[in-house]
Formats: sequence, structure tokens, C-alpha cells
Amino acid sequence: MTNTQLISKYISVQKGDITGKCKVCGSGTTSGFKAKDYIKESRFTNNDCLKEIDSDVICENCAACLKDDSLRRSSFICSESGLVYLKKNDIENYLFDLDKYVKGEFVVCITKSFKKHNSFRARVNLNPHVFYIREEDDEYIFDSYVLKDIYKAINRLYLYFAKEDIQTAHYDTKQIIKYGKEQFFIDEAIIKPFRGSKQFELLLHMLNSERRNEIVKKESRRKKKMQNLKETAVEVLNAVWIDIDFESMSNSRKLDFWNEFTGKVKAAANSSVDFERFIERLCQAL
Amino acid sequence: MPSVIAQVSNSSEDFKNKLLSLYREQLMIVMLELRLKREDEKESYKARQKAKAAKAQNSAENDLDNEEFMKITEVN
Repeated sequence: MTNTQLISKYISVQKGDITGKCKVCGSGTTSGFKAKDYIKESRFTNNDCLKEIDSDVICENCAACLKDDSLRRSSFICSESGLVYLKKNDIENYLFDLDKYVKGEFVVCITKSFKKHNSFRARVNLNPHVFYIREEDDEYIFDSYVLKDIYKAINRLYLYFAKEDIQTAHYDTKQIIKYGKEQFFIDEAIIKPFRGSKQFELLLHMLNSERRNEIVKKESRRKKKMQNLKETAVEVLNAVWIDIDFESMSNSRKLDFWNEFTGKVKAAANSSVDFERFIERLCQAL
Repeated sequence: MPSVIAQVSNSSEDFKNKLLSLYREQLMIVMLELRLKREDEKESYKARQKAKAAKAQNSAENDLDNEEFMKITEVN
């Protein structure tokens, strides 16, 4: 089955009355159209993709695909299971778990310009784990086994760095320290060999910024809360410390009092079921 | 009861439980922070005492000057 035969099952197809070999896909047709009505030579630049360049006929399937605007304006996946138009945030789910969404032969087309033809240039695939992606003028292999780990590393980095930083490797040193130097070098080593490739660009393109912002916001809220909790914890112990009578304390006890205090706080915290009892036990112990 | 303890006592059970588990799980960090806080307070107390002593000395010197000045004016 050709790419356009596969896709045209799910779009509106009109039948013509011209017989011949299709200029685009090369298959024979008895219900084709005049190719010049669909391919304007002055504007058409994909001649390298035409299978029968000298033919004047275009088959009904290729004609339908060329005419359908949604196929140009959206990324999509098409197989026996149907035609699925992809929103940007959906792409990651589909590409890494394609076996869940496609059956038999399938094509995967990604658009970033939202205007260039993909459908008639897409390669028909069979393996949902390693497959060709048509992205406008480029075609490349997407190996989900290999790219999954890279995508995970990019996602981790994306929580601390902008897409441009990851793309160009121009990282902010302060952010590297926040990220953790060791983990940063591990993740950077994972993604480095792929930087600049089409696959890498696609992975950056499909990063989910809404999800990222949500995680970053949540994390900063958690840190703020934790900071507040820690400050309160210190303030409480400080209040207890201030009330300790150091004047009547022997010098030998004073010398090791930090350890004694720590031990007593620990014992009180471990043996108390609530905060009030903790304070009571701590004050009694001191 | 110090105000911070009273404030914590009046806050939610969830907060108090979190505080208690912080003491159980991250006591060393809390103690370190407390130690730093105490050091800071000690330093600032010392600085305050020093400033107070310096001020007292200055005013004593001024008193002496005034006394001498009075003596001089009396002689004259």
C-alpha cells in the first residue's frame, strides 16, 4: 500500500475519469485527474519525490492528499487504525508508544511550518519502535529504544535550562550547580552525541512546556514551604535554648552541651506523638 | 511560653506533624542552622557590647574635658 492510499482511507476522496500512472506515487489508476490541476509546476518544488515525473495523471488518492489542508497544517499518524492529528503535547506519547496506536502499515508526519506537504512524501513503515518520520523536507529514522533515554535526559535538563541552552550547550553555570554537577555531566554526556541531529531537534520541539512549568512551580512551592518549616523548627529550638539557665550550669556540662541538647531533642522527637508533648518532654529533660 | 512555640501550637495539626517529622528526619540540619543562628546572635551581642563600651568611654572622655575646661575657666 502506498502512503497516499493509506491516508486517503480517512479523508474525503473524489474520483476522476482519467486512466494512467500516477505522477506522484507511480501506481496505476482508472479514476485519476489531470496532474496539472493539482501540481502547479511554477510553485511545486518537490519534483524529486515524484515517482512518474513524465506522467500527466494524478491518482484520486494523491489528489485527495494534496488537496486536504489539514494534512499540511497538522502533524499526524496514519495506519489501519485510523488517521490521528497530533497536538504538540501529544507527540511524545504517540512516538514513544506507537505500538499502542497503530496497526500494520503506518506513516508518521511532523510539521513545524504548518504549510508544507508531508503526506505524499511520507515513507510507509512497519516497525512501530524504529520508523521513518517525514518532517517536511527531511526524513529521518526515529529509534524509540535509543531516543527514549535521551528524551528523559532532555526532560530532566529542561526543568533547569531553556530549550535554547540545551540545543546549543550554552549552559548557565549557576543553573548547573542547582541541577547538581554530577547529574548534569551524566545527562549532558547522554545527549551530546545527538546534538544537532534532526531527531534531537524533534525531541526539543516536542518537550511539553506546560507540564514543565507546572513541575517547576510545584517544586518551588514545596521548597518555599520546606524552608518555612525549617525556619520554624530552628526558631522553636532557639526559643527553648534561650530559656536554658546557663549561669547555674557547670563548666564541664557547658563544654559538651551542644551534643547533650541534640540528643535530648532527638529523644523527645522520637518519643512524642505530637508537638505539645515534644516541647513538654524537651523542657523536662533540660 | 515563648511566642513562636505558642504560634506553632495554634497552627494546623498537619504543620505540627511535619515539624515533628523534620526533627526526627533532618535533626542534624536543623541543629546546624540553630548553631549558626546562635553564633550570629553571639557575634551581634558582642558587637553591641563593644559599641556600648566605646560610647561609654567617649562620654567619660568628654566629661573629663568639660571638667578641665571648667577648671581652666575658674582659674582665669
